Amino acid sequence: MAPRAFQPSTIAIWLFLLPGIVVYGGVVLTPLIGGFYYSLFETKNFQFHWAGLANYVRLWGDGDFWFTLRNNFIIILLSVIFQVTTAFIIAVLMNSRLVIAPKFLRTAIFFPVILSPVVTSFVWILVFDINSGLLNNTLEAIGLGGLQQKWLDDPKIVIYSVTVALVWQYIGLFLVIFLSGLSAINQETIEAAEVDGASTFQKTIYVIFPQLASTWSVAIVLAISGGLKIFEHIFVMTGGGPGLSSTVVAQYAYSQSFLRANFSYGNTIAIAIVVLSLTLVSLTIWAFNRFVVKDRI
Amino acid sequence: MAQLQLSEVRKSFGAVDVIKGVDIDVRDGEFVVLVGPSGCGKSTLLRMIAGLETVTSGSIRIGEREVKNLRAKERDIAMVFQSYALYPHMTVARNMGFALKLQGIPKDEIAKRVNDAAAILNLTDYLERYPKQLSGGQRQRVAMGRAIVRNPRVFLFDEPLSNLDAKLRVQMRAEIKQLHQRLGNTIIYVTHDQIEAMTMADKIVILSGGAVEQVGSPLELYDRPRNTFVAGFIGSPAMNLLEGRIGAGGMIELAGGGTLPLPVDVASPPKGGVIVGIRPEHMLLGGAGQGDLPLRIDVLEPTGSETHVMGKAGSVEVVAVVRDRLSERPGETLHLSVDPKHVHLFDAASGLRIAE
Amino acid sequence: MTGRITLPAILINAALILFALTTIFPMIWVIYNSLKSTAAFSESIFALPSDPTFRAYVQIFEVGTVWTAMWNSLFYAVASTTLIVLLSYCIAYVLARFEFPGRAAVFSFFILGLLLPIPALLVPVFMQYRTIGILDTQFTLLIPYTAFGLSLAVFLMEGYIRKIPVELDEAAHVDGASLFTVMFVIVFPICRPIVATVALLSFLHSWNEFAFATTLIRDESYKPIPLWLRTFGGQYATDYPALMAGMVLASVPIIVLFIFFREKIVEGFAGGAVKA
Ligand SMILES: Nc1ncnc2c1ncn2[C@@H]1O[C@H](COP(=O)(O)OP(=O)(O)O)[C@@H](O)[C@H]1O
Ligand SMILES: [Mg+2]
Repeated sequence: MAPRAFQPSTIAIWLFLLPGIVVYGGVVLTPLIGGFYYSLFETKNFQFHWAGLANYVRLWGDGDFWFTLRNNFIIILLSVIFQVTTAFIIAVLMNSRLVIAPKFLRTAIFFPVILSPVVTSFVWILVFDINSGLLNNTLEAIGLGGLQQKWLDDPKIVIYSVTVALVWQYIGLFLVIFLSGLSAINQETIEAAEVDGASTFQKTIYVIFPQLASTWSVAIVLAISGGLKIFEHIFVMTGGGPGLSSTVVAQYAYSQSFLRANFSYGNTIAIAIVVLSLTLVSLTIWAFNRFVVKDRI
Repeated sequence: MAQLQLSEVRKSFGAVDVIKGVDIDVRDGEFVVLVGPSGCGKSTLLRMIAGLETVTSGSIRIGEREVKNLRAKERDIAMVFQSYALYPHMTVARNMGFALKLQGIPKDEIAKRVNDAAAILNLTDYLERYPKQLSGGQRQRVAMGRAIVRNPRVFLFDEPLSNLDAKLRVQMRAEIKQLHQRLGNTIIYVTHDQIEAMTMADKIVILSGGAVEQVGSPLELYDRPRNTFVAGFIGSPAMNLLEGRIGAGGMIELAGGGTLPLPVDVASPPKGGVIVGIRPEHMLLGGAGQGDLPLRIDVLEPTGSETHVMGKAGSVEVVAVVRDRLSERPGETLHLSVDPKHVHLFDAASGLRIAE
Repeated sequence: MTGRITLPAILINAALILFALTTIFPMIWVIYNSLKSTAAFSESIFALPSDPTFRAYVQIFEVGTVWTAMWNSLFYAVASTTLIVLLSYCIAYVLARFEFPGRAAVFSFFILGLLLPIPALLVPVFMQYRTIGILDTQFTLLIPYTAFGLSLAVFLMEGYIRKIPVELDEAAHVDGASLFTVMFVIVFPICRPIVATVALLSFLHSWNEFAFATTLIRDESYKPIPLWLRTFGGQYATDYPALMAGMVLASVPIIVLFIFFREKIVEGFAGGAVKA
């Protein structure tokens, strides 16, 4: 796009950009810079003292931090396995002619995506409620009372319970991503494979899957960055407990700041999350482009 | 008095020179067609006149004013885009009246001018429709209507017919020409189709590679092409261009075999190699003309009124169009000749017309 | 449709429909249980209310804090949506139409917001707000809500404007339009579909947001509905129908929007994710 004869002056262009840049930069950029700055100090009684990289050294040796990060990775791993993969399978099934009500399915499965995390957290508090919960009562009703659990109160299973809630709420997002990826591939290639005698399974593996490589990369990137964004659900459902058992990094940063009043350390964790997330996302994109997406030059 | 005058106009996109010094004079009320192969810079030149593209150097005058540094809206021009560029969210009437509304012209005056233009263009019944509810031809007319209501000094058209089917194109060609005769405004019309140029223009400007090859009336270009490019570009089927040299007997001896007469207007025949141009429709059968061009027939295409003969003279492809119905078959040889007044001669090295 | 009725087809359909029901059933369960008395709820958590009562809703409205929260959320959502549409349109138009130094950097800068782990910004944003002294005001939440909506909005709008032929802008310039007229009288109306998508997504996001609200707002009078629900849920943890009524109230506008605009919303989420 060459400069058009009616292009306004560069100053005018920046005037159009400025309000957005100020608002956005003021929430995204300056806090990051400020956050990094504060991470170089130590907080004692709401006073800041220069500490260099001491907070980062502490972070490196902080078992609690690594434990909470591990929780994020459990969520990411489980969502790639159950959320992304299931969404892919459902999308492929819906794209075949087998399914009778694809519109209804899509709308129903997508529905929880638009609900407030606070609302869905309460939904799952109610589902997991030990006595009046939907899950334990259902298990009892169908004669599987022996499987009843203290879903949100048992430190060994709480992280998995929470993950179920997350997978449930956002699987619809991955579904519509795969559906839109599928709608972009040429249906005739699938029909050609059919004519060539491919089974449903073979069509999926040899024809659909390779053409959806970039959609997969989007989905995985989303699962990773989404897994590091988890905060509200756990905050509302369990508060990170019992103990630290369901705490994730974002909440660890939050509680270090607001419960321990250690804002410097909270900022340190925040900066670490940002760096980690951007690194993982870039690595994933790079890996996909390098090893999977070969059809694009 | 020139209505539109381009002098030494140049345009570069970065390091690429797209328009390489163009001079054109357009008289008031003239219908000028800019024609040339795709990518030669026609749109760029037109857009510079419109004020949509900056001018790298040179001068553009409309009337008495230098407009090079004026904005599009200050140039008193109207433009019809190839894609029509109709505002999709406005009705036909609002599309046509938009420029007037921006000028602050009162509503009833706008309505009157829109209705007048609509009547000329047979759009009266469609004024309340939206562009997507119209056929291609109707959209084309709305695009013209939008230009007409403003009664500008100069109309600019960029390949306005290229999105229409062949039949509609012929019809719109006639309509635009009529419109010009009726309104009398100056028109600059860009096309890559030489037939459009020949049928519509008062004056044709042939562009190639960002430079003007020749300017003239359609028949001037047909009768006296200035170089081999123009010779090959104007006319359909294209002129046959054959290499040769001047032989002893004052005839042209062709590289592929055969002889042709020298044109009447060449006083002193050149010594070096020449290119001789004969339009297919000027080929004569047997000895009706002068010279002898043996043509081995590849394909015969009778169209009813005439017969197109495609074949080879030596190894060179030659096309002839003759009025007679031929009984020869492919593989046989046809002897052609030509009237000297229809022979064009060009210098082989420069490609320029040799004439006195 | 050439799908034949085969056993696998029946099984697959049954499984998918069952799955879809599990995604919508919990919310339906919440809705009908909010119409029960506490006693009826303890009797059976599955049964439909035999004797529907609005007791829970009446109780919530009598306490009254929900009105403030609803009003606040409406204000945050409408105001941030308006700002997002206006600001992102200006940015997207300029990015899509003009070539200028820094263009690519500005674009990447906004797209970065799609990749950032936003909750990680809670603490740094809090620090900044405390330093400037703009915690706990009517406009406190407006800034982050607008800012985080901009990334997706700029991305979606830029892509849309890019597909609108530039000849339209040029025709308008030739017709005598100023840049402002071209932007707001010609191109903006053509962008209506994407503006609708952006507005819907922004509204949903601002209405639902919780993390920044709980970090930046302490004052009751500025709390939005998710914050209210969390407090209310803490207080009424044992009055299940009341809690469920609260959840329904917090979701009503969202569900209504979803019912009317589900295609646009789905399209926006799918389109936005493709870059993220
Ligand atoms: N904005 C631009 N930037 C760079 N090159 C361009 C631009 N516009 C046109 N060109 C180049 O200029 C030449 C002439 O283009 P154009 O005027 O559109 O040709 P025409 O209309 O005769 O087909 C082409 O080679 C084209 O690639
Ligand atoms: Mg062109």
